[in-house]
Amino acid sequence: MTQTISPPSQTLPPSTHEFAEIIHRLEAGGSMLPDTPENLMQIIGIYKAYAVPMDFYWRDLLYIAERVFLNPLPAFKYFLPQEYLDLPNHYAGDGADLRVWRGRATAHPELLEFMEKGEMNRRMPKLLHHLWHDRINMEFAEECMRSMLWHGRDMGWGKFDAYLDSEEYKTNADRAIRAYFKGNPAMLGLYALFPEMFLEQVREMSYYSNLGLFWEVMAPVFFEMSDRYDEGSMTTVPEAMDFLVNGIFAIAGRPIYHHVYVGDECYEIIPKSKGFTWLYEAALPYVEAVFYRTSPFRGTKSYNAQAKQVPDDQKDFHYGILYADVFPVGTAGIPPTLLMQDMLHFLPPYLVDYYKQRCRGEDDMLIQLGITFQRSMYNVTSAVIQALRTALLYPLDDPNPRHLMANRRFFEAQLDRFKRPEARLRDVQRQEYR
Amino acid sequence: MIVGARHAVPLPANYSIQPTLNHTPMPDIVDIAVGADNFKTLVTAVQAAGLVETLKSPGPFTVFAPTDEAFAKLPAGTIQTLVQNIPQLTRILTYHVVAGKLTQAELAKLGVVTSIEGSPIPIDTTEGFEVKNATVVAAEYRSGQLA
Repeated sequence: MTQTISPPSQTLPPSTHEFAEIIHRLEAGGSMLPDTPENLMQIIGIYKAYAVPMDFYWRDLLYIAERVFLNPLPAFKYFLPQEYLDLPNHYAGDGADLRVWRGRATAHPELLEFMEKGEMNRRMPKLLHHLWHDRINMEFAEECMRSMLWHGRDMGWGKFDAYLDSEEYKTNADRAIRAYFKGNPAMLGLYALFPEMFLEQVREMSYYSNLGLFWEVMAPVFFEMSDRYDEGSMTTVPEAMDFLVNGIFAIAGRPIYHHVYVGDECYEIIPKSKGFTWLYEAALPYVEAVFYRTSPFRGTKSYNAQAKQVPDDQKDFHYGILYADVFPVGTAGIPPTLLMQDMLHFLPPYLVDYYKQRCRGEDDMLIQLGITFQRSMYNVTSAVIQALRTALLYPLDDPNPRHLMANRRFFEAQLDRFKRPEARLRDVQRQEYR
Repeated sequence: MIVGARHAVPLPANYSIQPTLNHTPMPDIVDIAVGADNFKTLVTAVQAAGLVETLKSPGPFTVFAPTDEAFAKLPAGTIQTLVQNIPQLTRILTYHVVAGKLTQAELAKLGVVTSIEGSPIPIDTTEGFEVKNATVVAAEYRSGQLA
């Protein structure tokens, strides 16, 4: 769909935007990330390292949303039962709805091996691995979910969040709450006293499901990209971006829903029949809430809200990976660091060698891979921008100059978000940024 | 397939032909689409979504109908995913339907219409006739004829 397209430079005058060079690259069908073999190697390597823990994240998010649900003491919510490790991914394996990855539908072998032996490479009881933090860090996934819940009110994408306030949703949630706590007078008594608190917990559970269903798609997409790179059929950064764009459209209509199981009974809190889709109710809200906004990193820096160091409006929040200063993040043990720690376990050998030869080698590998991750997410964001341009505006090779100008205005408006000093768009243009 | 909605359409938009089908008592929209050669994918999708009866109901409706060529431009798998998920397919299809029988001139005057699905559809007639970002080249099929 977005194959090689010649730049429309003869038709339009050059852009005068601060990021004119990047805008011209987008107009030529490129990515915000420069097309170099080094960038390609880095982003594909990190996509693979991301996809393995993501294979755990989506399974556990669905497990929590569907089974753990309102357990008041969910101490074992990160202990994924076999049923969810075996849950077939809808986009991998022989029985896939649409086979995005040629690999298997059940949990990835590297994930299973890590879950068994951990970083210590020793078989120990699960509980010891857990307490030692030698495990997949679901706290990162939950932080992403909370970002979506918190920013969901005003992002303007999809109809998911508004549905959480509807009477229909409240009725569905009420049925599930009563069924879940059937025979538990203490919890039912609390529910009678504080119904809104329980409802808000169910809303959070609905976002667990939303994010789980979103990542169920992304894990096989990243695995397939890694396989194509390894076999030599993905050779440029724009090809990697186009694969993502095509994937976004192919899976766009995937249903987003929230089911809860109490025993064998399924309670449809958000039924598939609402017509909610992966692109509009999950992917676009995810990108906005997680890549751009999130919330100030706790524990790394003090913010003075009165001095306007934190924006008044949530829409102006800029604490996502596209803005992150990876160094303090990578040293403070907060959720993005936990993701880096998770990815560290699954780096392909070529990326480990690459990091060893640079900066402080193994000593600052978390920081180096965090910056690689930032590069890779600029490429994913480019895919989203190109997909939106395709859906809302005009083809890049449109012969009508008025249409091309509309495309340019769109690209310029998107890149305006990276004018603020915290944005890393300038940095990822340079290879020395590591 | 994308003509209908600003924020709700997961499909690309650069269709070369976007006829407007207007409901008239006999034959109805579905009959007109079936009779035309270039709406085979749309008709199949409408049948899969079980929307035939809805579109055959008195209405009237205006449908922004993507052509087969437009569907063919979608990335592999897009239609497959939608056909596997009927409520989602139905929602996408209803982006393309507006209540009432609207002519090109009436659409131009309105500037924006609301789809059955609920999303707004901007109409731009400053240069040609564009519905959202899709150029309409064959407007107003009525009784199987181009009006």
